Amino acid sequence: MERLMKIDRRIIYLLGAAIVFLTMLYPLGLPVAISDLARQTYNEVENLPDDAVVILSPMYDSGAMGELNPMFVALFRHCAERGYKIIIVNTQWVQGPQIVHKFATEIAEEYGYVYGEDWINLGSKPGAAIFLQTAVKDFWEACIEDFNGQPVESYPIMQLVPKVTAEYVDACLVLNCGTPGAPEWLAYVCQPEGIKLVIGEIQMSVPESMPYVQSGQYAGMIAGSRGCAEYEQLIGHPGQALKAQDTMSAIALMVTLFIILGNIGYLATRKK
Amino acid sequence: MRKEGPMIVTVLSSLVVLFSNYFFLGQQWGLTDRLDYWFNISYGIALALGFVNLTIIHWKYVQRRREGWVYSVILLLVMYGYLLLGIVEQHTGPTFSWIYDNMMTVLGAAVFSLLAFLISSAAYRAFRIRTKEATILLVCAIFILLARAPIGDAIWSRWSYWGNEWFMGVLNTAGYRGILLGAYVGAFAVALRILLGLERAHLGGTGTQ
Repeated sequence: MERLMKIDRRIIYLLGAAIVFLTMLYPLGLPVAISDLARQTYNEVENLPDDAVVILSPMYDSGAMGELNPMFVALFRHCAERGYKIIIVNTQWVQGPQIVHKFATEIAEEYGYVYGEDWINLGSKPGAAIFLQTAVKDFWEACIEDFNGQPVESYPIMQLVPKVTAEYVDACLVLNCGTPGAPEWLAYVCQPEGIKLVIGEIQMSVPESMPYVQSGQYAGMIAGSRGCAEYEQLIGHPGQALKAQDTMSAIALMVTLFIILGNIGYLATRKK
Repeated sequence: MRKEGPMIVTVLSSLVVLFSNYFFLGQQWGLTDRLDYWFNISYGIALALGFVNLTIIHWKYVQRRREGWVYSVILLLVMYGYLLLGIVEQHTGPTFSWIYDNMMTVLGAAVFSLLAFLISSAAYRAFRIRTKEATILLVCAIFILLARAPIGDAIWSRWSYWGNEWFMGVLNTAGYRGILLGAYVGAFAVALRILLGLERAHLGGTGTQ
């Protein structure tokens, strides 16, 4: 029984790796129930005006891309399907716009979106709160140039948004994994200007964002990989998050079984 | 003056920030904009200071041939090499971007992915029902773990509802709001102490008076 408490960690690692590969090769296809929160988030994006302009902010780096890339794809696709104008920009997270550019280009081509007219990638801007405050007053001055180094005011889409205010922007969709993130967008842009804020959150940070969702400060939230899988179903485009759910199920089950085994061993040895 | 000087700067800066944000005149005079510029300049200086500091520390390691000095050489070469490349090519340059996309991005993702394995092993070792509190923690952890994956619903159809909607929406939010309120009241108290010169931890020493 004592052995149950001292299973070599290498066995756990190997088993984990095997489960990841096997579930990727042979998906179980377990159904993913759609939560009220996912439905609420979907409705918030779906019900924007037909000519809406949205800011899609990938506030993350490579560490969080496993969870947040599928959210970016789902949100970009949803916005493109609805015909919204999409502006990609973030602050401080230098890798974010670089990571998402490939996906954005692919989906934009699929929907016949023209760069500079229907969507634009403004890249990552330094300054965090300072950038956000400046964007509210003068978006062009805050951004200066786009991802390709061209002046932002030379693009037709940017003519629509001289300032990040409710007059010009219908919603901010922020993919969040740390600081600066959604709370900064809320404090400096969305709350003072009355712009709708929808976020995508990594699973680890969902608990700390829940109070903001309940208070209505976040109009919606894609909660972790599971939330993204639900969102992908709602938009009718199953993607990477939905594929990952079987792996998550199997790993969750494995961890639970190991915890139970460890405790059986612990109880048995304690009685002795 | 070694302590009084920075303290005076702290108090004056705090007053300027308060004045610029809470008083009409502060906004009228454009103090908030001015402060934004100061912040950006300070940020740049802090970054440059970090760069110089890192160089001095690692250059000393190399000179004294301290254990692991080879890593210091690699750090300095990479730091200055990439800086020079960025200056020559700009941030959109092909080699600069290639290194970033194919090294930084991949390494970052790989390090984060390793957490899954570490957490699996750590959960197995840490979750033992030694006390009542530990048992409650363990039960909650397993409940949420299975609720966040479809396997929970496969076991019991209401699992994700109770886990994701009720546990997260009611229990978690109630607890987290308490923590948040406590943290912000604490932060406000610390800010007030700094403003009044009672808190001196940022100046070194014991920190309180």
